[in-house]
Amino acid sequence: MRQVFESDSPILAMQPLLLPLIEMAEQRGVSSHKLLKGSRLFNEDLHQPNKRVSFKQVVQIFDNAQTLLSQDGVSFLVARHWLFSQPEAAFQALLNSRNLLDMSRVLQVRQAQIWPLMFFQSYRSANARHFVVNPAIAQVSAPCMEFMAEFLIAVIDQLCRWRFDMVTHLTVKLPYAQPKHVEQYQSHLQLQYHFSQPCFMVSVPTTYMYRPQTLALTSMRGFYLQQSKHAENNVGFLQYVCSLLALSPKQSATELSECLGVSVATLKRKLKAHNTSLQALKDQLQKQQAVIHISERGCSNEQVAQQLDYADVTNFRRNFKRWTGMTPSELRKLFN
Amino acid sequence: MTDSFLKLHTRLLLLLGVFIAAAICMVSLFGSAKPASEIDWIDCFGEGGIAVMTLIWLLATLLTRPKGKVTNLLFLGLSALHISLLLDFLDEFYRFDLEYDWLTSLEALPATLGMGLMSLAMYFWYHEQQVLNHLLQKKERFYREHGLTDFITGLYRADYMKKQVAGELQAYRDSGTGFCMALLDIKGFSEFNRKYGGVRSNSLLSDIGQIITLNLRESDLACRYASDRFIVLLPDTDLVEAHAVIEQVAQMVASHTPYDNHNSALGFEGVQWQCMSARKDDDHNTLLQRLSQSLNELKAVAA
Repeated sequence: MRQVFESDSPILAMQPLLLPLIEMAEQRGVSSHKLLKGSRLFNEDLHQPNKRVSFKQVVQIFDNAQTLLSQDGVSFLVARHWLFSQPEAAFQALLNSRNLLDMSRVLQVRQAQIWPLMFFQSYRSANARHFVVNPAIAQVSAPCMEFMAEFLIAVIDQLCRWRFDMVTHLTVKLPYAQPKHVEQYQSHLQLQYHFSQPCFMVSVPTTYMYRPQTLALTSMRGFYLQQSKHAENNVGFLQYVCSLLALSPKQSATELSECLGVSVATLKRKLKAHNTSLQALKDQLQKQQAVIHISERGCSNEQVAQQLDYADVTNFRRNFKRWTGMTPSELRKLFN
Repeated sequence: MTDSFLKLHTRLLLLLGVFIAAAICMVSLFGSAKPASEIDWIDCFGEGGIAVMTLIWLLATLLTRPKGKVTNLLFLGLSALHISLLLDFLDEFYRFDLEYDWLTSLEALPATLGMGLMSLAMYFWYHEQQVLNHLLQKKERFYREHGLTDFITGLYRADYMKKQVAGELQAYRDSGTGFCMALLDIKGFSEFNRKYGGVRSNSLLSDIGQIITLNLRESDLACRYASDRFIVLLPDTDLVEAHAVIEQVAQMVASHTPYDNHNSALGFEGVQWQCMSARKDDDHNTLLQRLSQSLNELKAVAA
């Protein structure tokens, strides 16, 4: 049984990311004290090998890092360091997967050990795969989202350069406007990126999903998967709720609270403590499905409305505008 | 950094201690304490406050400056000023005995002397600043904003360059004086980083920043762009000329030999670069993006 954890559960072993971040900050004249401010953590705490931190603390640190150091591109630099110093068996399984498709499957089952802060939902279109990425534990502030997104795409970029030699064919859509430090994106990334998009999404042409990973030993994949089988396999609160919603998108608060084994009031309180609500999560899911239908699959409004179980198109268009700030036809124009 | 500056000044701090001790000794030897009823506490607070403030200035000066003539003069001037104010403060608690009453009239003398010394210090400070300005010549243009410097290379960051480019573009549209931009990227920097670690990579970045600025013309401006990229603004320059300048810079960078702690040379191949002239319809974002894009294409071909 997977254990669900919340944003204030001290459960994350983040040292491989936080310690290099602190060191890089110090090399750039920002003391660890400033970087950790408000997180109730001290540099010494993180040097204890078994120290676990909560997601709330991580968010605070990422917020600080983005405010103090985004101009220095530390999110990108830390990502590079993190990628090349991963000791986890689960990560080794990733490096020995046959191809990207295989990698995405390994990631699906070992995500808790590799990158527990965000999760992805995979969608198919005629000639590409799309991975929509969302925070796994709680909704986060804008600077924190930017930091996590930069970190993640820098890891993906480096990984694809290192293992596949096809990074320029990847496209990333980012859910925020072009930041002031766009030169960091230009200098660190070889993949294609677009700002001000409705969802955070990584797209790979289907042919490249099957390109073999040159340095992999596929026999080691199974070995490392076995090795990492008994490691903790916790799932973040938001990810868990989203997975329940994905199974039955129309369920009510009562049904959902029964699945989680808590009262409706507790569910509402918990969702609020994770900066969201049931309606917001339902909207998020429908929004990303609608966006995939429209921008990646070229569906008409009628088709999407039908897919998403809307009685009429007007209603769907109104909701779509509410979710994304643009009409379906405006989104279509954005991509043509 | 500031820590080590203070350590350089142990002698001066000792001297300050002697000055203060001497002043206190003098007052307590030649004077006698006033009864509590005669003490004007508000006056004490005011005069004590000024004395403490000068002491803070004094310590701040020592904390932030290396050894040298200007520092010594500033130190002596501020110390003398502080002694005057200290005597003035102690005056509130002590009265000089009758035969030493003439000492009271000497109270203001150190302050006058101190202000003279500080004026001299300011004069030399101005000269020092001139020298530093000269060193900064190719690292800044018309405008100083230390918050925009990059900690690793000491050059200004992309933000500073964006402001300069926006200004140049405006001038280009107004007066028709064109300019060029160049972007330089260190070859194999991520391998270097992986092989030799962050500290050594940072010092390589700083070295290359220096070499670039050394080999530019006086009117040019070099900034750190991002990661392993440097950006150069070449005002009032056509593309042919700009190519020649950057080609020379690239050659100089390529002949650089980084050393590690044991003095053996580390592998390093030089830079790749791309240079282009601005268009009147550019804004600074599109221009920098175009430049970045074309460098990426160049790198892709080279790879």
